[in-house]
Amino acid sequence: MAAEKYFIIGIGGTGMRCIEAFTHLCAIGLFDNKEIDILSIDTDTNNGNKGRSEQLIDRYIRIKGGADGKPTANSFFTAKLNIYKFAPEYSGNRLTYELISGLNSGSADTKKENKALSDLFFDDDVQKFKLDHGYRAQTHLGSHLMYHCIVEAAKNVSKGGRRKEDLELASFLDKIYQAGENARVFILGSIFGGTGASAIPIIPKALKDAVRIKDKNAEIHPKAKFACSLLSEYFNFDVTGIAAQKKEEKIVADCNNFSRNSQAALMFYQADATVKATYKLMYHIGWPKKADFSQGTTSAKTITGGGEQKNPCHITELFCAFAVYDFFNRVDGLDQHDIIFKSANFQNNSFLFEFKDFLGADNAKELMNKMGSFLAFSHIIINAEKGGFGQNGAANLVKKFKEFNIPDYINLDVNDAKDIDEFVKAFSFNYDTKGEIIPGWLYQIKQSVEGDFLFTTDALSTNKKQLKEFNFGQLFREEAYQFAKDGKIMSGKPYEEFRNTIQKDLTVKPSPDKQKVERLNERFLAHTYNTLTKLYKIVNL
Amino acid sequence: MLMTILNLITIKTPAQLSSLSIQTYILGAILGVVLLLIAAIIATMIDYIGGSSDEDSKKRRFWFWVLFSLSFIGFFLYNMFIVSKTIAPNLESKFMITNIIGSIIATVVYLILGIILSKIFSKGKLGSWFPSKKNN
Repeated sequence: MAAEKYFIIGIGGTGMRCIEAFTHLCAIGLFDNKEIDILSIDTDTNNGNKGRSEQLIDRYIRIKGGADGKPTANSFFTAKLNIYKFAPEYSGNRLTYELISGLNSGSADTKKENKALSDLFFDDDVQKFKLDHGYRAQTHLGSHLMYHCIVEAAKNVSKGGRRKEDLELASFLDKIYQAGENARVFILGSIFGGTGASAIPIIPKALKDAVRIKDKNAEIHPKAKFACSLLSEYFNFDVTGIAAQKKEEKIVADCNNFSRNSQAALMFYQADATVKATYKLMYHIGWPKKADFSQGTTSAKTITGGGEQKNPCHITELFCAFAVYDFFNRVDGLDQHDIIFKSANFQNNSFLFEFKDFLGADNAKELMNKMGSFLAFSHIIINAEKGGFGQNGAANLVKKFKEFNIPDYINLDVNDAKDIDEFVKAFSFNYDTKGEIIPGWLYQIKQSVEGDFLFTTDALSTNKKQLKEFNFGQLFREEAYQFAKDGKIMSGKPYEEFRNTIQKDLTVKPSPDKQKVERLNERFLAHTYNTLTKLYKIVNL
Repeated sequence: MLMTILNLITIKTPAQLSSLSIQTYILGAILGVVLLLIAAIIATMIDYIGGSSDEDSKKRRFWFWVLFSLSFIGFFLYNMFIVSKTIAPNLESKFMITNIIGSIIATVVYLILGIILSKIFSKGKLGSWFPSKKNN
């Protein structure tokens, strides 16, 4: 049997944050031995979330050695990722539906007919609003435009067009086509907003049609497997100034409609024959409360998109990333028609998540070790090696290795070390110039849960003194998985134990056979991964 | 007063001085070992410090050389102010040579064993005493 090929498509602001969560799971090493092609689609090219997740993936790819990188195993950063960026062209004479559709071109009769036809489907305001901030929850318009922009991109490329975004989409399509029946394609996005909700129903068909347009003899294999997240509403934002904004911009996404949008979308997915025939698995993910995405913003206006839209990460996006894990690793159950329900322990108005809630009991320890080790690695780089205080933490750690006769990594490129630093800061936390904490992805996830989250309370503390002094040997509540415990002579110092182990224990050296690590920074990462795995004793090295 | 001083003097003959000299050399070597053990304990107690600074290694080196100096100065002063009082005045000048040799023995034992230990435990904290040049 040929190896499976893995593809992810992230659409819209929420899709981008799901990709961000997925990339962090790749960084902790959850997708061993896999090469994954990621397509990011957003109508809003300057969107802050899009920029953030693409920057993260770009950094990940650099850490893996760029195009020449290879998948590895049992370490950090094991999956090989490839990114393709596509965005419809919504500017100039393609800024509104009215302009794109050429409603005002042709003879007077044609114009009249075009207008009458458009009016059947879209309100006048919908036809005229600017599309550069996305579809603004107008999914009927969004599905129509998204389908056509993908098909148009394929047409452009087949005619020799050189638009960068179209070429990247074409490359992604080629990969799916070449994967044949081994393609597993996961589509990430929300069903309550604009771009993602618009795209999820039409993407498989749009991709199939686009492949055929590019090459009439080609087609996406009928047995290629598609899955998607159906992420229902989980956040809202301040809409007090929305009336005035609507006067100016005509169409503004209103979070008061998010629940209704979700319900309508779910009813559609349940009834639509094309959707049911296309998707093998749909992961419906919900959240009982709504996060306030207006917090911390100073703007009185609803942020419809653009660089300002940098919403914090949320646990539902992490669930979506785990849905990808399930789909990519699933060996059976791809043809069943059952609805399977899963929840977690809910007490005192908050969830008490355990590792098994994410990957099941069988793989809980693997997740625990990998996420815990990466968080500990963050503490080492940011706090102990001063990466959070203006220094290059990874480079400092390399120098420490060398001081004690482990000069193996001394030629690690300073930019590689910097990328590792920046990645772990994006994963966990950083300090600003005043020493205040800047919460990274995991901290933002924890904040969205409103209670303890997987690790001890202090492990994800937002108190800067507590965080700086945190004993990362005590990440886990279970005593069996702690090291550097307080109260023993010469103990309570996790960095000491980390350094002692890395310096004296030869079994933690990277294994080229088991871990498949060839590049210098991969060996360095594998060495630290092995050391932390040995110290936590959750799984055998 | 004179009687008290005379009572302290126990080394009165060249034979006794010769015996004392051997004891002094042995004691010097023992002191070197003891001070080295203290230096090792201090080195182990100094925590690793991350970041670009070499602060922890510098501290270990500092204490190593402090105890090195102490092995010579301390032993020399001990012999000069305490042991010399037990030696008859006519033999004191001869003991001065013994004192210098004993103090040198203390420092040499301290230094040689320190280098050996540092090389044996080069991947540990004692490695900070004499870091390998190729690692710098």
